[in-house]
Amino acid sequence: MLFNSFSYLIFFPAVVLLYFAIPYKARYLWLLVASYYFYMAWNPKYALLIALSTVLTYASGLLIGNENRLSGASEPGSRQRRGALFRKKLWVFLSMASNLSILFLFKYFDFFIDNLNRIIGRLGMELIDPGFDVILPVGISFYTFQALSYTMDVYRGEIYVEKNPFRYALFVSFFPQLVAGPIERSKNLLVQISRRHYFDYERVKSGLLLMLWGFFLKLVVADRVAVVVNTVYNDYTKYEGLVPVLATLFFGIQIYCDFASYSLIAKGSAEVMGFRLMDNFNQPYFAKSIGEFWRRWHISLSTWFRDYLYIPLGGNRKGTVRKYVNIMIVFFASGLWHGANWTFVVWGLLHGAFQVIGQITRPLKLRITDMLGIDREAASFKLGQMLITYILANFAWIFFRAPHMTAAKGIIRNIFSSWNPWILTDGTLYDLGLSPGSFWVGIISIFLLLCVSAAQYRGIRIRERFAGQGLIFRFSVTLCLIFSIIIFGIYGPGYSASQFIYFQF
Amino acid sequence: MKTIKRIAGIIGFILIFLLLLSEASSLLMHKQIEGRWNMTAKVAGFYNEEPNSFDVLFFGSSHMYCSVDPAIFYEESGLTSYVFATQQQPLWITCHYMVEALKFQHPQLMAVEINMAANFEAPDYLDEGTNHSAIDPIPMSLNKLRMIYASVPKGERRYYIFNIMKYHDRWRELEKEDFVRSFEILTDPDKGYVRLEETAKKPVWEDVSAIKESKIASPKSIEYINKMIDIAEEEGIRLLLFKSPSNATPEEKMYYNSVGELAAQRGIEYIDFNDSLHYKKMGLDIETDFYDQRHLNAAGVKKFVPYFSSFL
Repeated sequence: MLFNSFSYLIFFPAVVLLYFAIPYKARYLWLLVASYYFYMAWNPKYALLIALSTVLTYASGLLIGNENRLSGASEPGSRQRRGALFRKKLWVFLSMASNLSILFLFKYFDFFIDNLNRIIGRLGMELIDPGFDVILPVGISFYTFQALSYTMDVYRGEIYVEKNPFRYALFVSFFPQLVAGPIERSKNLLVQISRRHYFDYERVKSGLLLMLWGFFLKLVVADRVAVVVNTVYNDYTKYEGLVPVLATLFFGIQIYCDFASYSLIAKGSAEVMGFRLMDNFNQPYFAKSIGEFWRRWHISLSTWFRDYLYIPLGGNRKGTVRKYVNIMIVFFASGLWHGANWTFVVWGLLHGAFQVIGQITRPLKLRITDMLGIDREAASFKLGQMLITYILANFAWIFFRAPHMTAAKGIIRNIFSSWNPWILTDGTLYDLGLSPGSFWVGIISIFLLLCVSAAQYRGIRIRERFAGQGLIFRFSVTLCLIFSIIIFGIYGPGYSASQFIYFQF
Repeated sequence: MKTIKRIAGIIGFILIFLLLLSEASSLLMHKQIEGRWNMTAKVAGFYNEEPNSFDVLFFGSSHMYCSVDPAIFYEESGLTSYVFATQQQPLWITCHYMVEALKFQHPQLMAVEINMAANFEAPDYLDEGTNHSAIDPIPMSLNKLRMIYASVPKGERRYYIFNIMKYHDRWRELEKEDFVRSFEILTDPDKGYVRLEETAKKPVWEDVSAIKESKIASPKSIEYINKMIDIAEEEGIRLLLFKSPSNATPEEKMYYNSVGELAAQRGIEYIDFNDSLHYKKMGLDIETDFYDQRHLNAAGVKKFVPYFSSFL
């Protein structure tokens, strides 16, 4: 089920109440049942896939743990030890290969066949028809990566081997972050599963507040600006100049609010039950370079790629050229992870290229700023860097949002084909799917988000400050937030007065 | 002490939230409060009437609310009455309207117009507009929840229980009356009757009196007519099922006949005023007495009500 669904509004309190009502020993089992129910609400068959991934990585943990014991007990350099090390690598390889094969089959098979057919078609050979359709199971990229991190961490000796299959199954399927992250590490989440979590009134309140802010970002901001984005992107040939620019900037806000809100609701839900999930977003649009952007955007994924792909590839330890190649490989993989489409690959490669170019031209940039006597520590300089990073990130979003490459190219062409600042004043903005009132609710909400983000960027801990305020203030703000979600949120069957006008009796 | 304070805080917060939610829901709810089809005002007005002040209650759909004018009915019979009906109201809602009405009134007679028994196009669930205009003005109660469960398919009921989910987007078109909501304290001067002055150009009339065959359009309607009969029996109130004059087609007549058969089985009075004999006796003129093909206009009501009251 989705977080922003009526079902979750019933599911979550029910799970939490029972969670705190039952004995500690049974709690993780209850969460496991709840998590599978949560996932099966989409499609009960999906549970088999997640169970398969769980079994494979659980077994890999046991096997690797066993080899660790054997190699530890044997003499260094002995045959026994070499055998154990070899088998250890074999288990890691098998776990990776099997899990990634499942991911490939369900996520990339259609894409692969399409591209294969394109090549075959050029060669004039008969096209391949697999004869079946694969449906992408929700969240498969997220939990597969989470489960794989366990195999690797056991291999590296960074986490103990979890013997209890149900505890481990909960680590893979923990419902708050199951379908859209944060992609947790066993080092953080698995250890928390075996801990006792007490009911802490202040913590529960704080978690609920975080969820509320997440719902605001999702229902009031993301889903509202999405209306404009969809209007323009679904009919991109019709719009030019500043309209696609605005739609792209709105998409940047949409995807941030969509994704960050999911992480916030996940974090809040977990916090209510006593679990601490990692921060997944940290004001990414205030980044001063694309590299920094990725340390602030979808942190759980970028650190995953850093730890399990970039560093094993050699990272920056094997020379500058290899470093650049590694960056490009990581961002190619990241693009593909986001979706089986060339648009995502281009998006990923763009981000890779921005970083490589940024690093190559860095000496030049330093020389120029020195020559012109520009203070690189000045706030204005940093603001300029933020702005450039923001523009680059948003330019790349065009490829992320466009349904196909032709559309992406068309949108870029249309942006540069006309200079039409009058659309800002002639009412065009109100013809993009949002009424004037709704449009301005969006703008005000974005401004609110900007203020909150700026405060957080400056290190202000808003929730802590909030908790220290008086009762009336806290009640008022919380109720304002709740009612702005209820009234201004984009949800429900929709209302139109015409539904009530029928005089035919 | 801390725990007590916290519990008090939580309860206080929930109460304020519910209060605001209820206020916001009333504010944002779509209201039919103007013109002839001011159904919200007519239904809400019923609750502002003196308890136990009506001798007769009329239930049904549009065929009901434009067929009986309680003012004329009072002149003819000396009985006070209210028309508690909404447009296209299906009989399962009518049944719950009856339960609702009996919370405040204890009439001697309840008359149910059964036109919707012939509604074969949407047998189990009617469209949102119909459901919302019948359900929204009813205050929350167990009966309202039952009404919603009977009328709305699974997955959509939440939009009726918390209708702010349906109407929250109306903030853009709020008007003074949404805030003032004078209908919440007023009564309806027409007592639920919808006066239609216009005259239809050329309604088609067929003599369907001879048709004795019967067909069931909607088993769910039959089920709820049975329930209404049960309620009337339990309460010891006389119940009359009738069909107002509506120039019935042969097919409609067959559907109405199925209600007639049910009434006969259960020993309940039933009259179909579409029979040509009734038209003749009340002097109904197709040319002047109909608003459209199927509804009486004010002239028609002046002929129908005196005739109708003679049966009561």
